[in-house]
Amino acid sequence: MNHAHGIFCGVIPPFVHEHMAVHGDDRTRRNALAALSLDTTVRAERLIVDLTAAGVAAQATAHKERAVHTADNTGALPGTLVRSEGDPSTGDPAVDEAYDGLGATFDLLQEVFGRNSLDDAGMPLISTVHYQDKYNNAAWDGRQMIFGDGDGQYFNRFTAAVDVIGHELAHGVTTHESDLLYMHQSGALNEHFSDVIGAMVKQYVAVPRQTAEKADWIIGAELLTSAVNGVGLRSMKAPGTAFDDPVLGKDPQPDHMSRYVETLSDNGGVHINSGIPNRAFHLAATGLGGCTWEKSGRIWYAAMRDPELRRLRGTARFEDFARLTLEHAAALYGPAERAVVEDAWQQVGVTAGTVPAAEQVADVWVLHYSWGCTDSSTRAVLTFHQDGSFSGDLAGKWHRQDGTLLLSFDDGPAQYAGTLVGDVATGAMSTFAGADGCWHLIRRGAAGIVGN
Amino acid sequence: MARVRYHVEGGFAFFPGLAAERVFETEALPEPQRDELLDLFETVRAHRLSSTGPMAPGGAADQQTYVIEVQESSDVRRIVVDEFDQDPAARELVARVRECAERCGPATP
Repeated sequence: MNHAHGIFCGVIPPFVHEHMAVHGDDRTRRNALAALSLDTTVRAERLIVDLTAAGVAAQATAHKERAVHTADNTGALPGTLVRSEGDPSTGDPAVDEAYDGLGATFDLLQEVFGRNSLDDAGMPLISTVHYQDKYNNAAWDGRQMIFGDGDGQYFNRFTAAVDVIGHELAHGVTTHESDLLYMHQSGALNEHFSDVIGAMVKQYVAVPRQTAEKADWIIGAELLTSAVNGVGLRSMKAPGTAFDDPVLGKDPQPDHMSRYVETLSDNGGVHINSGIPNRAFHLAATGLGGCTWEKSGRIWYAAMRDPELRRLRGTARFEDFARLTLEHAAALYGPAERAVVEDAWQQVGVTAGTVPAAEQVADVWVLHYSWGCTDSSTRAVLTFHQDGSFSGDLAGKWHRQDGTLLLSFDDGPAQYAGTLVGDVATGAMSTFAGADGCWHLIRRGAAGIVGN
Repeated sequence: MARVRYHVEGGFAFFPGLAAERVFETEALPEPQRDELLDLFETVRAHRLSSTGPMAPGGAADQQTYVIEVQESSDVRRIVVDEFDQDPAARELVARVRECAERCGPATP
């Protein structure tokens, strides 16, 4: 799967063709799509699908809107505005690094993924530098980025590392996509995706741009002072080896599922166990070859945007995300790429979760339904069979597509549609004497359900 | 006499050396400061118990939190303050505890 690549990761990277397909006139678009189709037909088809009117409109209007503030070493947020979009350099390194880093990340998101800012709707990029005094951190508060100057003893200013800026911005992307809960494995996946985007930004702005093979895969390489025995905050290539210092301690990141750290600290180890998927991404990126934004980054981005991940949200585990990356690797590129990604996850001890729909749903369930959505409901015990039928108090057919469950009944025209998550499905129904209704379905014996 | 435990969680990265718990005895403080610190702790705690105010915006990440415990005999009271908490009393409490933790030195086990 490895290909020989020049330092520019191919003569004309696929994202250039995709950019042309999105932004060019009709002839340019046709030529670009033709070029893409020579690369991978599936991807070209996907791009055509993406070229909906809404998608093109959003990308055509995409523009950066950066606003960098200073807290003047206080805790004020957002502080005083010191550089807006288009303003010249200020001469303050923290301000200008933040401005450039925001721009670099915006450009990567737009040029590679066709994304219009964090929310894909042109959200302004707001940041504050010089937060507090000797503040050793960078964070995303749900609305903006916040950067400290570091204590100067162990940490430099946090804007010095462009991957840190990309990392923080990626939290905004995650918020607007899967919204992964920030604890335990879902939180570690949240952190992982931020490191993926951070690393991609770093490799994208490097001169010349870096291949996965050439990159150092260190997050925050510029942040530690010479007083620290370490090369950065994390290593995606070799988790657990970034620092080993008398003051900071030893890098606690595991590189394999067998060394997963069970802890209540750090929101359940979100910055610790992210080492496992981080290494999987590094292995996939180097296995697929070229630059991360050519294949591996696109697979991971698609998996992060998958509606299934949002449905899982707080219960998402590494194996769930791994499964989604396999599905998107196959859909975007093909079986060879899927095999590379699967091998990457296997090397870190994560087996992609594969739960056939029939096995998951085939069970005894209790249906509660109410025409008119009133407080009173009728109860029916149904047995779902693997052949797509159900029997019991009522009989009919069921169909599951991803997280959506559809029911139809043998003795009437009622149509049920809803969302299935774990042991519970909820939804709406229609076509009973002209009325609509509500329903929920609970797997018999599910926790918390009495009397089933 | 009370024992105060304090540690920082979260942040952009996890550094075991910086996550270590700091402990000091309020007895090491001059009486006015000791009383002020404990009063401030109770004020912030009471405010949190009764608060129905807006929560921090969703989707936050990489934030540090300050975990402060006060132990008097067998009674242990604990509060957690997010680093971007805009409650002035909570910010003042964190600043004072941090200062004390560095100035007062470790408590005897």
